[in-house]
Amino acid sequence: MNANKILIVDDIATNRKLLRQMLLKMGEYEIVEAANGKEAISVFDAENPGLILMDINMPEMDGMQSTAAIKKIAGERYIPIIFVTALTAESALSNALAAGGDDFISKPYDVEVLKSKINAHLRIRELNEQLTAKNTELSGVNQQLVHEQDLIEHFFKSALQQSYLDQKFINYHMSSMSAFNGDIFLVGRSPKGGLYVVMGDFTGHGLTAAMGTLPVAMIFFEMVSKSAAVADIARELNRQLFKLMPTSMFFAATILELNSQGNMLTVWMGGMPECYLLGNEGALKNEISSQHMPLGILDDLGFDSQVEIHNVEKNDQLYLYSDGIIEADKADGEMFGSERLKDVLISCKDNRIENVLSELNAFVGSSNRNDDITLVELSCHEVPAAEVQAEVVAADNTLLPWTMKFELSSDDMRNRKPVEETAEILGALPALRKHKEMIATLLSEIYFNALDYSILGLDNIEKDNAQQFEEYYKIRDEKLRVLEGASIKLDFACATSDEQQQLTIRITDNGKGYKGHDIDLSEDKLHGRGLDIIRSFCESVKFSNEGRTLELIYGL
Amino acid sequence: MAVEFAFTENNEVLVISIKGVFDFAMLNDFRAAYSGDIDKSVKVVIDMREASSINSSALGMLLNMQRHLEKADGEIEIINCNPVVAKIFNITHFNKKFRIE
Repeated sequence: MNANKILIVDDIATNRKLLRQMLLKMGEYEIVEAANGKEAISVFDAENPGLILMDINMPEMDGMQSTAAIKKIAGERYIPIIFVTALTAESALSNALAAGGDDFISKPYDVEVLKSKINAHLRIRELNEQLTAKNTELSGVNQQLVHEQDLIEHFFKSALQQSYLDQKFINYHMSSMSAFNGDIFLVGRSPKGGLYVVMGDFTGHGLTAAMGTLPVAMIFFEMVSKSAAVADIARELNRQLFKLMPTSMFFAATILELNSQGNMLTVWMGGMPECYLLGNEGALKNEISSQHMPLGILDDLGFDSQVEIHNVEKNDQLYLYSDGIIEADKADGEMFGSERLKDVLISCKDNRIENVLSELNAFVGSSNRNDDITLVELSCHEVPAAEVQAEVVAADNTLLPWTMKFELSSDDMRNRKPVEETAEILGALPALRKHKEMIATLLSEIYFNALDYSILGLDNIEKDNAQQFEEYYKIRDEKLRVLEGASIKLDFACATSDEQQQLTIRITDNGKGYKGHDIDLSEDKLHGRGLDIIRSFCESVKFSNEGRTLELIYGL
Repeated sequence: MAVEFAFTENNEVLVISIKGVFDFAMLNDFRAAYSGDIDKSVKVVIDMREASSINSSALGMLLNMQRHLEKADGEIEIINCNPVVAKIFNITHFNKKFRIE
């Protein structure tokens, strides 16, 4: 649009000429002309003028019809239209303005009046242009924001969707004041059985408050997949949030685990309102309250990961909630409060979440809620292990045969932890990874048999009560301290036999030899179970070399 | 530390946590966990969550503890055993003396 382009509409050519000359004397205008209302519309379309001077009475189409049509085409844009008229009747003028005209000027023209009217309208038009541009910009920014929120919401949803929300265990309600929520509620099932819950509330509301939920979700699910201890989850969350969050932000949270038997809760609580444990008949069995500061405030050194353990029974129900519920207030400022919440929970036998929400709605009435609200019901039952996705195994997973040897000196036996070190090395091999614990157990048994009985000759010392037990280890320590010239060789060989992969473990010592005690397992003896453990896990157990060599074959 | 212990629930439960290979190398730490001035009524829980494996000498240490604390069979709980550890408790019939979870 050309702001200085003025369209003159008049059916009399001399009138147009006169106006044109006046305008050209007044300023730097570009002038276009139309001889009637109809032509005005097409010239307006083609030339896009910034202002129109419009005669009223014209053939073909008069100024009022033309004005209405042009205003319609202009839409949101402000195109000032000034009527130029000899009419003085007020009714005629008001009709002209009603048709969409913005002003009028009477013939004969007063140059100064014409000039100031044109300038005033061009100025309004310019302001209007600026406003429209700002609006367009704003709505663009807004659209981008909405788009970005959609994307961010996707992140949140994917992070939170991993929750294990089986209604057998979990019923919940979550509401939010805004698109995002500072409350977080996650449930994960351990691969060993047991259910983990984290429920908490970041300081503030909206996107800022929700920012922290992403790292919390990632850390939580990762640690649940490793069946980590509640104390360790709390510590890790605290460590990461302390690093990530500004000082003014923190995360009040309850982290808990219901064990696989469904009869024990391990709880870490920091900065959360107390939670209520209700028994089968709805009686309040326990109130569990926070022992700690919220997460993200203390550095790792000052952080206390101490958990509490609570015994529960089948069908006990635990109620967790964010402070949004107890702080919900009526118009007069009275809060819902924890006592009221507790009363509602105890007074109803079932559908407690729905009941609390309807009580809460009745309580706050028409006043707006001003916090995020989360209410969770955890029902205690046995929790079966989560199915772990089977590891992808190559079609041909047979191994190349290999062997590995270790030779331990007296110093190694005295100063190192040969069992742990060798088990660690073997366990690092992909084919042995899932047997690592078993291999450590087998090694531990055969190594201590070789060292204690064959090399140190302790097999004839009784270990049948606590005192003897202690005495035994005293003698052992003493003998080990002065041990010289001893040797234990560990040979490992992995091979495939009859399409089955086997690990052969051979231990050879240079002591007096040892072939095992015969013991009765029903006896309440403090020792002597080692060989039985080995026999029950191995395909073959063979002593040779006067009891100085023991060979185990373990199927992989 | 390979053995950690803490009292919870108003000092009514003693939780002893084992980390790494549970064998006689832990003897002193393990004994220290339960040999303080402990009330007879305290419930004892052994948390094996971070125990990678156990050795038969650990079985002796457990029996030793049971005697020291004068606990009846099944009174002491052993929780969060990995499958290998659980299997060893089974084979050695320790599930008759301890509540294995």
